Amino acid sequence: MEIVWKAFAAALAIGIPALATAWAQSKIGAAGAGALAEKPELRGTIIILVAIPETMVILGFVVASLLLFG
Amino acid sequence: MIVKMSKVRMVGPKECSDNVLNVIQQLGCMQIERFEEEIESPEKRYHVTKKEITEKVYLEEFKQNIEELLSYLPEVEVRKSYINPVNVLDFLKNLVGKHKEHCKHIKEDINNLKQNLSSLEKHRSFLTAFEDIATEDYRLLSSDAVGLILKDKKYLGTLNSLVEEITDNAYEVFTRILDDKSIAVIYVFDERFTEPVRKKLSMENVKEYQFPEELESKSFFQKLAYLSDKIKNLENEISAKENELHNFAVRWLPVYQSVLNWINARLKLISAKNIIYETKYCFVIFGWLPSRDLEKLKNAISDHCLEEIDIKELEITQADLNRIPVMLHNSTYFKPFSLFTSFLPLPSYTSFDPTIFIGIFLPIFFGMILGDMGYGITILIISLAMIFLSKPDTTVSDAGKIFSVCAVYTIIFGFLYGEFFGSFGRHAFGLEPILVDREEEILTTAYLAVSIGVFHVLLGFVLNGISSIRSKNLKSLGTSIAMTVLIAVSVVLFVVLFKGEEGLLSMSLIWIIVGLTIVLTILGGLIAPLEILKSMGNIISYVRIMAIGLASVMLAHVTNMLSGKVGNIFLGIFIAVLLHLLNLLLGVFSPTIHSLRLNYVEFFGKFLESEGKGFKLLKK
Repeated sequence: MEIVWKAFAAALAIGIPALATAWAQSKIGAAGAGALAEKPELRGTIIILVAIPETMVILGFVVASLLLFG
Repeated sequence: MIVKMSKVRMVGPKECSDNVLNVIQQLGCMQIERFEEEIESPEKRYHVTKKEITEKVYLEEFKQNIEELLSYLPEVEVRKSYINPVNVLDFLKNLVGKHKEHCKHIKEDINNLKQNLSSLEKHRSFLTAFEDIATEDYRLLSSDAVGLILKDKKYLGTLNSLVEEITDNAYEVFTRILDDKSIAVIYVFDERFTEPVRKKLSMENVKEYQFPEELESKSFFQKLAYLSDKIKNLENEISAKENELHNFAVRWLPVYQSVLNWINARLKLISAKNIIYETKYCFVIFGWLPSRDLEKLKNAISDHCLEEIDIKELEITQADLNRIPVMLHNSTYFKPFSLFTSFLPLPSYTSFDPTIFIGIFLPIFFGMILGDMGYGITILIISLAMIFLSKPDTTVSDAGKIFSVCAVYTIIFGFLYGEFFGSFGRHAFGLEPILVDREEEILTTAYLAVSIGVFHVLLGFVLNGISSIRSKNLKSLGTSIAMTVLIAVSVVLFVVLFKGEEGLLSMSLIWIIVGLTIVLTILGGLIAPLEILKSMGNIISYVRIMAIGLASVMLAHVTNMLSGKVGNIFLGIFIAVLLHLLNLLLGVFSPTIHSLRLNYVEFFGKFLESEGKGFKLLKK
C-alpha cells in the first residue's frame, strides 16, 4: 500500500507543478508573441521569460524522484 | 572579451584641429567625448565659425538632392569611382538639380505607363477568359453581351433571375474564374434586350464591366487584338525608359555615391568639432580609444607631420567607470557565440563579456544533456555541412560552428554515458557507461547536475567579486564573498545532514550560516537574505540537465524497443530512423534553450552588469 501512496504523491508532486508551468508558459508565451510582433529585438528576453516557469516542474521532478528513489 | 580602453587628451595648435580630426576619422578607432571636469580655465567649448555653418548648410542641401536623385535610380552594381570628390563638388552641385528633374520625369513616366499597362492587362484578362465563346459566329453577329465582375458566386442566382425576366429565358450565361479569384460573367442575348437589361442592372446598382472608350465600338476579337498591340507597345516603352534610367545609373551612380560618402564623412567631422575644446591658440580633444590603438594613433599623427600635437593618456577615475564605452572583441572560437549574446544589453566596462561564458558553458551543458555518440555524430555532420555549404560569417555558418562544438561535447559525454542512439550501442557494440548510467542511476545523475550548478553559481559570485574590485565597490565585494562562503557552507551542511552525521560539525555550520546571513543583511539590506533562497533555487534548477537528458534517453530507449518488436527488419529500421530523427530534433532544440536559460538566468544574474555604453567611433 505504501508504494501506491508514494507513487500517488510523486504523481502529484510533478503533475501539479507541470500544470502550473503550462498555465504560466501559455500566458507568457502569448504575451511574448505579441511583444515580438512589435519589437523583434526582444526575442532573447522572451526566450528567458518563457523558460523561467519551468523551474517549478523541475523542482516537482526533484521531489518526485526523491519520493520514488530516495 | 571587453577591450581595454584608454582615456586620451590631444592638444595642439588651433589650425591643426581639422587635420587631426581627419586623421582620427581615417583611423576610425576613437570616440571623441566632452570631459567638462578635465578642462581648465582658458579652455572653452569650440566656437563654430560662420564659414563652417555655411559649409554645413551647403553640404546638407547637396546631400538631400543627391539622396533624392538616388531614390529615382535602380539598384545596379557599379564600379568604384576613382574621381576625387572634392574636385567635382561644385560641378556636381550645379548638375544635380538637372539630373534630379530628368530622372524624376522618367520615373513618373514609368509609373504612369505601368498604371496604364495594369489597367489594360485587366481588360485583356477578362476578354481572354471568354475567348472560346467568341469563336461562335452567331453570337458575334446577331447577339449582344453584357459583362460583369462578381466577388462572390452567391449573387449569380439573383442576376440570372433578373436577366431571365427581361429576355424571357432567351439568354446564355458564361462564367469564368479570373486570376484574382473574382468571377467574370457574360450574359449573351438578342440585341433588342440590350437596353432593357442594362437599365435593369443599373436600377439594381449592378455595375456593368466597362471597357475604355476607344474599345467600345470594336468587336470582341478587335478588342483583344487592340489590347495585345497596346500592351506590347507599353511594355516596350517602359523597357526603353527603364533602360534609360539604368544607363544613367551606370554612368553617374559611382560619382554621386562617392560624393555622398565624402559629404557624410565631412558632416560627421563638422559635428565632431562641436565636441572639442579650444583656447585662443590651441585645440583640446578628449576621447576614448582601445589601448592597443594608442600607438597606432600616435604614429598616424606623426606620419601626417603633426609632431607638435601632444597626445597624453589620462588616468581613469572612479567617476569615469560608468562612462567608458564598451567594445567587445572575441577570438575565432568565441565569435560565433555572439549570436546568442547580441540581443543582450551591452555589459558595463567593469563587468564581463557574456560571449566567453556562453562559448564555454553552452556546449558543455548541451553535451551533458544530449550525451549520445550517435546523435553527436549526426549533429556534427549536419553542422559541418552548414559551415561548408553556407557563405562565411552568416548566421547559418555561425550556427553551424556553434553546433559543431556542441556535437563534439555530445560525443564526449555520449562516450562517458555509454550511449549510441540510446541503448543501441550497448547491444550492438557492447558500450558500457564510464561516468554514470543515466537510465538506471537517476539520483546520481541529479547529484552530478546539482554539483555542476553549485560550481556555476559559485563562479558567478566569484566573478561578481572580481567585477566589484574593478569598480572599487567594497560593499558589493563583501556581499559576493559572504554569498560565496554561505553557499559553500550550505552545500557542506547538506552533505553532512544527508549522510546523517548530525552533531558538532552540523551545529557549527548552522551558526556560520546564521552569522553570514546577518553580515549579508547588514551589507545588502533586508532583501539580501532572500538572495540566499534565490541562489538555492538557482542551484536546484540545474537538475534540468538530468531531467531533460533523461527524457531524451527514455525516448531513444522506447524507439529502440519499438523498432525491435515490429518483426520486419525494413519497417523496424524505418521506425527507428523516424523516431530517432524526432528525438534528435527535440534533442537539439531543448538542450539549446535550457543551456541558454541556465546561463542567462542562473549564471549571468549573479554578476553581469548590463549598463554598458556603445563605442561610437568617429569614422568615415
